[in-house]
Amino acid sequence: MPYRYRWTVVLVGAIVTGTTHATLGGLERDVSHEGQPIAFAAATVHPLPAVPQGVHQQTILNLRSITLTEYSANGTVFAILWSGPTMPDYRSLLGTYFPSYQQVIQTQPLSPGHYRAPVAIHQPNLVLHASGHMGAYQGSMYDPSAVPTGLSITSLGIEP
Amino acid sequence: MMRHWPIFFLTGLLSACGGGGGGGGGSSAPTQICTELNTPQSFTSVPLSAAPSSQPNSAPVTVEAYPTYGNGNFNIPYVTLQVCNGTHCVTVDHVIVDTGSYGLRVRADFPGISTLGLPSINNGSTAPIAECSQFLSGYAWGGVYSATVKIAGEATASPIPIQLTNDPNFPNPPASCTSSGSNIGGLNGLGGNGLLGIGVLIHDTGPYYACSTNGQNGPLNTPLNAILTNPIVSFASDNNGSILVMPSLANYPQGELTASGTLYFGINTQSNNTLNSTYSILPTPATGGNATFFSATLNGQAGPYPASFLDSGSNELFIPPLQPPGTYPLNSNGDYVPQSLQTVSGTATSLSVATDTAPLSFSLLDVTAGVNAGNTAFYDMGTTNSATAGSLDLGMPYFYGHSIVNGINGAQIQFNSTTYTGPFYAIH
Repeated sequence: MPYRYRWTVVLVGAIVTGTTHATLGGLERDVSHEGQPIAFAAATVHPLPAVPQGVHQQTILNLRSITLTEYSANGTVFAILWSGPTMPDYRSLLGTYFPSYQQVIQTQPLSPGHYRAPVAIHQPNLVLHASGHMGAYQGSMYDPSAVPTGLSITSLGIEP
Repeated sequence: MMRHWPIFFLTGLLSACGGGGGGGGGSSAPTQICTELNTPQSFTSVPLSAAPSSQPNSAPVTVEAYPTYGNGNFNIPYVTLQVCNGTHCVTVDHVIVDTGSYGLRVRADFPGISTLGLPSINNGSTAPIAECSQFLSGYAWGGVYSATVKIAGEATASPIPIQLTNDPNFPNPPASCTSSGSNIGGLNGLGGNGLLGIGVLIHDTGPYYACSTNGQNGPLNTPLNAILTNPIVSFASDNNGSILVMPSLANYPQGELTASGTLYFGINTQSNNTLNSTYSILPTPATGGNATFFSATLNGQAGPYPASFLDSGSNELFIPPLQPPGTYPLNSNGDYVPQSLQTVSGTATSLSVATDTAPLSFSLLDVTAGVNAGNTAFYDMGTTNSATAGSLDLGMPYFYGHSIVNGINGAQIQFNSTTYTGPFYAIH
């Protein structure tokens, strides 16, 4: 089933609510503040699978030309899939989850070459992956405790 | 092509942050406000011909322990180049050859660099531009300056923008810069004195920032003359790509103390950089989500891996988990640690020209003994990559025993009686 666009909500949200940012754990209606809504084109490596009932999917292009696909249930974003020429601002994208990311990253040894190794983080409330190189990065993040019951995260193309 | 965004949209999103973040520059200058700019990511391709050249075009490449042994200093290929103002040059040794990025970055505290007085590149008339170079778990923050770059017998025909990392002339990096991870802009973070980005594309991706003490930072779009570019395209000759040739280490499964190779500039411009039929060519998309990628399959593995690439700046093979785990065991860090050499073969297929393929083969071994012995060059060192991303990152270990060609976006060459236009890889 092709996903449907929710133009009304997207456009109204952009005008009314000011400077909030869509984040993991944030409100679905704020997603548009992260960038410009787009149809998910064939420009990505992986075609997006169909979305099960009760899960909403919005794809946007942000200021860094990063394509973000955000999955939400009951109005709250529980997973984000992204790809683009540079890295996203994790502080903005992860919101309240950012300290968990920072804690893991900053305890890793600072060794030459390590900064370009693929990232895999498995925390109780945050699973995050990133790979690629300058000009062609991709990654995903989700909160395992917020995934709707019965939904396989891998069915959304997101790495567990 | 530049995108034009509604103004209300831009102002709501741009981050304006002074200080904070920690790590980088740290100066005593008045507090500056740095504003993130909108950096264009799509450019018109310009033909880069294979015009004959007789310019000295080869630079020695070394893999060795620098600045010190241990701590992950392995499989990093170094060259020496010169950074110049109008009249003087500073020779910078141990600059990392990086076919996975675009543009030259040099640590600002390399001896002599500050004495060159390189002109900054400004946004509008007064706001100097800084870049936050983004890597998977680190960033390099610093100003963008205009410099002439020389290497081997080649030189940029005019000054190009380069980044000076950990630049004391700029405030600490903004929060939107530091969020990917650690500051890697210094000697130990980089693992060298600079990064020479000479991959298959031309333009760096940013993000860029404009900084000033009064917050009047000029236009919201990054000016084109501030965007770092692959230095090779600005050479007066041999400017359509490069070939990195490294020796085979097949007799040294636990690594070598050092390795020496050659970086040739130009493709099909001289007798020493001409592609014969022993090469396999892999054209790659120039834009979009597939840019710089080829698809790979590995014998006996599920695959395919559609986001695969070659990258001399990756110091390991980054390979999704291989089956069966008994044959390809992992340690707690996710490193492949088979106790006997395991060789994996497969095929790379172009995402632009489906009939163009290249054979792939790499090896994996537990090289703990070699690392402990202080060796720095390993052809069989690998660790895991994310499974869903579908990506083989064929880093520096893959380059040993091969000649790896990076044909830059717009490069035009004849190969096996066919005209090819970059971006492309070719593998021998």
